[in-house]
Amino acid sequence: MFALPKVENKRMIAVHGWSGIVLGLILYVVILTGMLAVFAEEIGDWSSGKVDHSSALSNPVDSIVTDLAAQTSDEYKDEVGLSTTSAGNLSVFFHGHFTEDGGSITERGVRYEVDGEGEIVKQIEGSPQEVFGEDATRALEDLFVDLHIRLHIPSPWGEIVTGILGLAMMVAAVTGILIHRHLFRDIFTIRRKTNEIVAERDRHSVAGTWSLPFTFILAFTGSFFSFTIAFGLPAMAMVAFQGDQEAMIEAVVGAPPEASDTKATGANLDSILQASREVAGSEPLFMNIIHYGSDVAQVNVGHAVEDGDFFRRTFGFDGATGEFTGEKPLVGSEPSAGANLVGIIGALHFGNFAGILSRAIWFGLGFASCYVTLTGIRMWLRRRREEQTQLRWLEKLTTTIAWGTPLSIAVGGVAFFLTLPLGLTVEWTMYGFLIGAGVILAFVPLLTEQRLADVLRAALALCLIGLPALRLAFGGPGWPDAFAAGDAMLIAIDIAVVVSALVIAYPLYGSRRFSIPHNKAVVAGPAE
Amino acid sequence: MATGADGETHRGAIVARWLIAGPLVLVTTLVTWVVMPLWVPKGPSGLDNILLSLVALPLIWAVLFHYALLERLQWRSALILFALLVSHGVALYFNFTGAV
Repeated sequence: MFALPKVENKRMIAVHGWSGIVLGLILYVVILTGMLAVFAEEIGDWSSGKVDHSSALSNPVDSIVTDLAAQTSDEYKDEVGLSTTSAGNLSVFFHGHFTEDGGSITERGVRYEVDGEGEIVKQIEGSPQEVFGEDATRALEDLFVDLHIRLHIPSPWGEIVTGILGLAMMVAAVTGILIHRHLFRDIFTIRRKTNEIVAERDRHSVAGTWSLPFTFILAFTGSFFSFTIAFGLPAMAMVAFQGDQEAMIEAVVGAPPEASDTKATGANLDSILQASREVAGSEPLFMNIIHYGSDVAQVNVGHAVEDGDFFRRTFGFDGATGEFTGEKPLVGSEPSAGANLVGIIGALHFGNFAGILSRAIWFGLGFASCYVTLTGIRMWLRRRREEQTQLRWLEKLTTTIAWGTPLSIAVGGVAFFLTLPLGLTVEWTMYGFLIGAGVILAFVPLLTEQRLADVLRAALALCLIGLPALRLAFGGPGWPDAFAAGDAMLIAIDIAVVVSALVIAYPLYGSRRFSIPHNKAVVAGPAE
Repeated sequence: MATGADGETHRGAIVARWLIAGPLVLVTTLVTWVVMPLWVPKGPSGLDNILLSLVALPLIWAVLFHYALLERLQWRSALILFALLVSHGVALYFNFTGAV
């Protein structure tokens, strides 16, 4: 397809190889966890045992908010946020905006958690970070999502690293296209009657070519998110707003209405939710009331991304009269090309633009990208095996990361279920992950590369088989409960985890190399 | 002289290529990108210049990086990148000193 001159082609091949070798293994971790993150919410619900997915905003909230406002300090009544907790309770966060000594503005308030019976089950005062904190029931989801976003490296360095990995992925994708002389022929070519090296190259080319557009989109959108979070917004504020971040935030989220001292009863919140429900055609996800209890109150109601939609939709209402004031753009106060573009980028990165189907495709293509990354590294190393024996350690490291990463996450999952009844999941899920990684690293020098791969495979299969069993053993809902609640996803994830374990373990079945010889210690030897 | 693994023929040429495609492209990308909000139209929301610039960062780098690798004449890629860097650097300087 492309016929670069020989010198440039050779240079592109070198860049393609080196971009994978230098950053490929970390990139594999980011892609693998990104693949899981496509179903992060479902995995979070599965692990926390949540089968009732109804929104707390489906029930009447007006009288609850009125009662809570009566017992809340006036300084916290400027703004109110309503949402559903992972346990299905209603979260109501009354908060105000306070100017600190240095001139910066902070939020502080009180958050109530109200159950289905209208009883307050939790009340906590402080900043948003303090009152929302880390959710113990979502610790497993947080483990791999944080690994995907910032590799558990503190901000902004973690985001900078993942942003650079995104750029490396773009380079691999672009150079991958440029070095293909017969792109459309190679896309369908897997030679069966050939040696293993050629067959692996064919599989790498086919998987890489089919997932090429996806790889480029994911790399580009991932870099955009990472760099925007890490330094993009402050840098833009510095140039476009002369360093005034407050002015920029106001431009991004829209300027709030001027506060008023005139009190007003306000429109019924349940009527507003019903009106929003009718406009959107779906259940509300959150509600935000600005200048609560005043005659200038403004209510925004947000809805989840629906199948076929690219963006989450938010509708505005007059808080005093309940009158519909229009749909809010994703960013800013007016619809714009930039806001639409950012929305499209988000939908393309998360793959949620066509419901479960698009996310399943994104998951599959993520798996293909993991395969392409690992086979690319293996091919590069295999070509140099004869003349550069000092690179054998990298072959072993590739095997360790390839199987060790999912295994460590699975061990984190085991730790999550074991500590869920104790409420210690936030710490122990991470400890489990680190212990898993530590034990794997301790085994590396003791085993040959092939034996290491087999042991890690077997351990991963065992951990995966154990996860649904542990989920049930530690109080998780069974299939009858899921059926009764109409939650097919919990059953689907149980089956997917067990099937994955069987697929991973299958090559070991009857494999002679896995049987440890009697009276022989397992010692390190040359990699096969 | 034998051609190196990356297609260059001189060690000096290899180093020059990587200096251009590495540090020079990186600095040029960052300066070009950070100046973008000054010339990209703001649009009806007043935010298009910021949002479009944020989206452009990975693309600017990718275009400049691959150009620097594929350009046969190294001096030409260096000159173009340097011109981009200087012109945007001057705009950035005037922005912060208040002259623009």
